[in-house]
Amino acid sequence: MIKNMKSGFSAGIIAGFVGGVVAFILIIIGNITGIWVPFEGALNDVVFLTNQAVTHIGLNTIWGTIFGLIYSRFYDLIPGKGIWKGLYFGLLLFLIINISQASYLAAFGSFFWVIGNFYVAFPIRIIYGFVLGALYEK
Amino acid sequence: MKSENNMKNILLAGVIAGAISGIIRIIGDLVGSAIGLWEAFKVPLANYATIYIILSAIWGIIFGLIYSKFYNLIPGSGFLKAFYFGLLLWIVIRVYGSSFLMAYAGWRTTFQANEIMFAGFFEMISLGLALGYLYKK
Repeated sequence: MIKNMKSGFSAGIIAGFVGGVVAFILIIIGNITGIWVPFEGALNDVVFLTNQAVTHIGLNTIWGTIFGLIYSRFYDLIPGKGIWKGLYFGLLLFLIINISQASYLAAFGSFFWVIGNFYVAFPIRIIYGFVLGALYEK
Repeated sequence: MKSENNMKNILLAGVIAGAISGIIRIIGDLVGSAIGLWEAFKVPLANYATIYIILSAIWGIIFGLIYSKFYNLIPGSGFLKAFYFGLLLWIVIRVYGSSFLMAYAGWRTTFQANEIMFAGFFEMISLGLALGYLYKK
């Protein structure tokens, strides 16, 4: 039990860190290409970019660890095997966190943040699930 | 036949629990804005309440299905099991969302994070408890 928890913990840290790096890169790409620009002129502001990197990488690593522990707890009931199991878990997180949040935002007309939920959150949930599924095995 | 009844049971439990949690969230929002924890609504209360309760009822079905699927692995029994499920939802959805808003540290996002965190606590705990009361495996 302790071994599994540790494994979920370590796999979660790594998967969360990777997800955070991807989130930061997506925000930069979104700004450069104009796909999704939450903050105008942000690319010229080093302090702002540093804050973004620390926020996204730091928080995704912390939350990745927590989600990794939850993953190891509910592992047996998640469908699939290996990477597929991790991907299903990532999609489950995307459903309950991001789709639910996006549904309320859309209902109240905040479409810009709905796009952000899909543009940033969907890829990071998939990558998080992929890495978690690849690293953690009960 | 038994599994069909079980499915109807969880769908109904989810709708009712979701609607209850939506009502609790709105009450929490009103109390919090009245005592100055966050800003009052920007949209008319009737519109806000209708949309929020309908969406919460829909999401209640999904959370109910998740509750029934993972029922055996949620720690505790009876009241505690339901409470833990609500607490888990609060952490994964509301605390998670608030942490990103707080990281931006603007006064507006901090106000919004307070609302999501505190009103969201009562919302999610009531969802878990209502599901636990209405749904028995």
